[in-house]
Amino acid sequence: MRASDYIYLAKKDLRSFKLRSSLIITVLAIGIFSSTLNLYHTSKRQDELISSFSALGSQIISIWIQDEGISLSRLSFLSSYFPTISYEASCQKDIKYLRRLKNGVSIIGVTPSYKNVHSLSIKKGRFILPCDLKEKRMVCLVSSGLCEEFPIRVGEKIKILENKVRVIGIFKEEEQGQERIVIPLSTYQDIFLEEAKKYLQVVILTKGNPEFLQKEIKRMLERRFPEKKDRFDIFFQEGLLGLIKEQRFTSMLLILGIGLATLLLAGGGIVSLIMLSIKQRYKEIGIMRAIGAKKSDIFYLFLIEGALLSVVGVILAGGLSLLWLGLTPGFRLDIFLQSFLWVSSICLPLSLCGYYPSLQASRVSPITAIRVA
Amino acid sequence: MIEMTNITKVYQMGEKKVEALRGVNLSIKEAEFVSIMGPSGSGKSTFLAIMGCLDIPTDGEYLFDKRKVSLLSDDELSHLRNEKIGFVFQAFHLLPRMSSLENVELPLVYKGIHKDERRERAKDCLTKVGLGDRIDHSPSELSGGEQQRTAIARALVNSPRLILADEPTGNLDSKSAEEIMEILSNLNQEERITVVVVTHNPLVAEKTKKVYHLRDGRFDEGF
Repeated sequence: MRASDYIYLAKKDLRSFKLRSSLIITVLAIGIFSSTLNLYHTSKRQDELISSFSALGSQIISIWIQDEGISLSRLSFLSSYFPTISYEASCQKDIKYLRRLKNGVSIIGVTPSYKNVHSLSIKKGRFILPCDLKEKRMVCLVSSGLCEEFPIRVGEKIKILENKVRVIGIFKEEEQGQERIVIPLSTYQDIFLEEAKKYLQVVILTKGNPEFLQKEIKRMLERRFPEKKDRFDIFFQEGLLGLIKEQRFTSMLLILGIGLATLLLAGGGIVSLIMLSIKQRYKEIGIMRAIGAKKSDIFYLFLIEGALLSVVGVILAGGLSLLWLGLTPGFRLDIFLQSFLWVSSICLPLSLCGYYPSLQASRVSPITAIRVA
Repeated sequence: MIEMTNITKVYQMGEKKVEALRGVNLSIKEAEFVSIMGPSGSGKSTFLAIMGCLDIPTDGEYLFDKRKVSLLSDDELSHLRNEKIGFVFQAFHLLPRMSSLENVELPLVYKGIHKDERRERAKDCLTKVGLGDRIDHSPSELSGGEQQRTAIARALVNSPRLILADEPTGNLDSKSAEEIMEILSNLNQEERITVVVVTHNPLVAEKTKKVYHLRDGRFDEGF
């Protein structure tokens, strides 16, 4: 029998069990679709984090403080040791410009030194000044990518939650797709009370040995805040990158695990569909054997039926997720392909789910099948 | 063409052994048109299944074209059924999801014939049995007689040397039965195909040139 004929017959059989076949394909496609989406978003977010840390250069130390008791003023002593120091906090919020809404834009509360620490390039207007910080002014800078999407100009106002904030400058994004809005840290703490309580990040640019400095800073902080030793984490860039990569791997495993569970469900569906199909077509198997089908012809016919279900499910999920993600701003084809291939590679064994039932079908005795039916 | 010597078939039904065939001998020559008659349970369908290489005898020797069937592998048996034997069943046994044409094409699919060629050959066979205008109809859209004619076209498509028909008129009205026997008779006379018909109907049997009577797993005396 020719390979094209196996596919032709398998397609014909699957079409005649439309409802069951569609159900299996749908379960499979939903599993792959949701896993791909999850993996894509997690990978993209972590990729952006890694790139932004990488872009800062190798001598950067980051302190993450998770205690509202350790305020900006209590940390100011660090400035006397490190002249290039920035205090930051960030969250994601919806913004409005001329009644147009954009969801989940990164809002970063910063101090004036942020510009130097992160080597920010200002395209128009000015950066945040000490007076903006002191007077908690409702001003902001927007990233150039955001300006391409919304025709925001310096001097105009945008809405962050219910607060009208005046645009005082436009800065160049470090990486494409990193759309951000920068506001004074004091304003940030005023607007986002809850988020501000969660954490504060101190970024230090230094020429010293980062590993040594990491230990020194830890010692200094522990001496100053002895009762809050576990409330801060200090990373130097390499350590932080390692941590993010480790976290990326863990979350990928988690997502793939969830995906695997969904796919196992679909795999079970494929096996039961073929089993049921064999039971219903018991007589037909006998007829096929009587008119000349070999055992291997029957085996491959059912195996290909199972594999076709998996392939259609994967293609459908791929198309859907590409369409879905392609419409989101800052779509990254490389991350999509990577995520999709990871998830699809789990589906590969699904193509072989029909192996056992197909083997059973090939062993059916032609005369018994014809007589029993 | 067919040499069957001392063919025995025993079925194990739980602890009980049932002898369906008890040492049957039969010889059929090329281009013969024979019928095997017998009441229900006489073993005629079992005999036909063994003759069609669908089942294996418990004992005895079966030579098809001087080849010992018991020595053939499963794939060789499939090949033999595909190339040299055509089956016609009482219940037609057409695949319900396929059109007449696709049903007739099926043996050629297993033979690995290219789509265009098998389509042509299947159409020719359907025309030969008078169904040239019904090729796209599914079995459920055909009458009993038409379904049986489709089954005959399927049996013919690989130009077999032997057609085995198990009660081919059993599910048909008398007019359709007449037509089916006419087709089988023509195939035997014009194309020199050996035809073996199993039936319990004397009217069907009298259309054949030779009649064998099977009773309790044995041919009646005289055969």
